[in-house]
Amino acid sequence: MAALSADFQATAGSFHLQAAFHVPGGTAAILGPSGAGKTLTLRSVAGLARPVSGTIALGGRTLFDAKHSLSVATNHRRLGYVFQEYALFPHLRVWENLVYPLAAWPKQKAKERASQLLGLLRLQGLEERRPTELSAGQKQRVALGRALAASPQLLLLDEPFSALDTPIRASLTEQFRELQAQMGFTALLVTHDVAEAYSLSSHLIVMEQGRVLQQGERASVYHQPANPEAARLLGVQNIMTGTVVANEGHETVIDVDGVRLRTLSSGLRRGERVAVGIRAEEIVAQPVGAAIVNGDNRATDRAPGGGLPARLEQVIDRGSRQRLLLRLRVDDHEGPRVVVEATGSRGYHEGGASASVEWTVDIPATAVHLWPGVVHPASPPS
Amino acid sequence: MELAALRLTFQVALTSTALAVAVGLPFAWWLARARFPGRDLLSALVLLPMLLPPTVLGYFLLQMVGRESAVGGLLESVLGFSLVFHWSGAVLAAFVTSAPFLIRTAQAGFESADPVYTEAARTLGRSELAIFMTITIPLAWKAILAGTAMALARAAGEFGATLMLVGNVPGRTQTLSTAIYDAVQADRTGDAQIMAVTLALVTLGLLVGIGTLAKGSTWSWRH
Repeated sequence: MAALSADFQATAGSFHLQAAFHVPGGTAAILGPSGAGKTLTLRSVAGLARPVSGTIALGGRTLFDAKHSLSVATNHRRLGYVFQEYALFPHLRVWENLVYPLAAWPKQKAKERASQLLGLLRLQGLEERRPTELSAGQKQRVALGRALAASPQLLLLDEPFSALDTPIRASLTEQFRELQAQMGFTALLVTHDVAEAYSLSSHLIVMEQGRVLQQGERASVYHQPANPEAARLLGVQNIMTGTVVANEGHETVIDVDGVRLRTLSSGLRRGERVAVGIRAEEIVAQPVGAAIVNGDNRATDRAPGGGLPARLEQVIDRGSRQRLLLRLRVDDHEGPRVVVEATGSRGYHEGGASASVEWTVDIPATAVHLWPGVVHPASPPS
Repeated sequence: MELAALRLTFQVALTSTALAVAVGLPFAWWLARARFPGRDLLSALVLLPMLLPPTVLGYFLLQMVGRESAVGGLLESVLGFSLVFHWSGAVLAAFVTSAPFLIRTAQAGFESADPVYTEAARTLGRSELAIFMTITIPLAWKAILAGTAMALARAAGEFGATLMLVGNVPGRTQTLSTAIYDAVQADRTGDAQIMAVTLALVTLGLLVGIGTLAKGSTWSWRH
């Protein structure tokens, strides 16, 4: 697989993009909110936008080098591009779209290639259709097949699955992996969806406001966000500011608005201000019985097995999953609010939603991420 | 009815329209994409022949390519040939007055096509010429067809500029419209009527035919 190395600056109006990343092969996902510069990054790699400075290289071949005024034309970059709205040629039938990049091939070979792609993408029977007669999922597959027809070294995908229903996404994810295993192309996709980025890629590049915040192997990026901003984009819903109150042995204790959180040893100094991030799905919350509510739940440093006392403020029920907003309590005053993702079988049930019921919240030490400094004002806890 | 005039009308209109397509289409495409100062002025200049009195155009053409002019003199000395009083002069007159219809309509067609399709074609490794022929033209097909029909109709009916540049010589430079003028002047009302109705019917048939072609075209698609 061809490696992609990019380090360039590009502008679009007043927007400034500073993109520097390396994709060793496999699939990399650029994850970021809209306006992060994801599409401009893809367009620059494709040669559809011209960076103002820097270099782009694919498989040892320089595609762009500002210093040497070198910019390989898009049609010579040997890449495939799946556009967000697919951009299937409306006046051509499905098979004509598929053979479009194969104009230089002998007719018979091009036809064989088209029927091979129709088979791989399960599009048989749709050869004669025009793009307007296809469903979104079918259009997506034709666009994918067309981009791959000429065996590009690099496949670029702009929000590939954003317009598709969940079941179609799942089957396309599978098909995409099969295709990649068979054809061996490097892929770079952009998305604002963490789950889509993770499920499709081996490598994550987190971008915001025209900057790369973090990049690397997907699991390490996902589980070890480099900073609170990257953490928020990676789906960490609880991000707050705290102070180190103790740092002894194998644990560090953080105070967040009076609530004490235990984390793994961090090497941070006592009294240091820190940003704290906790994934909503790693927190366990459950309602407690009346007997426990009347018991001793005033202490915030509870005995092992005990959680932090909390009051349920809001429930967003999504059927199989619930999003709970819980206000942690410290003595008589209210502490920080945490978001908890619960599954139907765990923690939450209809009867437990009553605000009068006391809840208990467990935050495992391994789930707490710490970064020196405070949470940037531009990224308040969600 | 002057059959020679009918034949010449077709000859002039078809030649001028072929010229308008060959020169006007790439020009319209360039106008639709290019961004440079003075683009608006150039667009206005293209419109000008549609709005100026044809006699004014004929006068300018005469100034530019007449025997006394530099271009006309050069043509005559090198090729032994003058546009004035020659059917090719009628083609020039028809071209200048009718090409703007094609250029403006085609330009609007090119401008309304989503640039993502040409971008997609570029990522698929095709050359700019191939993209122009396989994507740009087909996507603007209806506008091009409509523009061509209008240009053809306008060329077939050209009168003022033709009269100024090549006169009205029966059998040599006389087209239907100038022949009609002649007939009326000579009180041959019946002749004039036949030719006028013929010209009107041919033009109408042309527009209807091309409209049908555009509708039934294999390049049409539902939105």
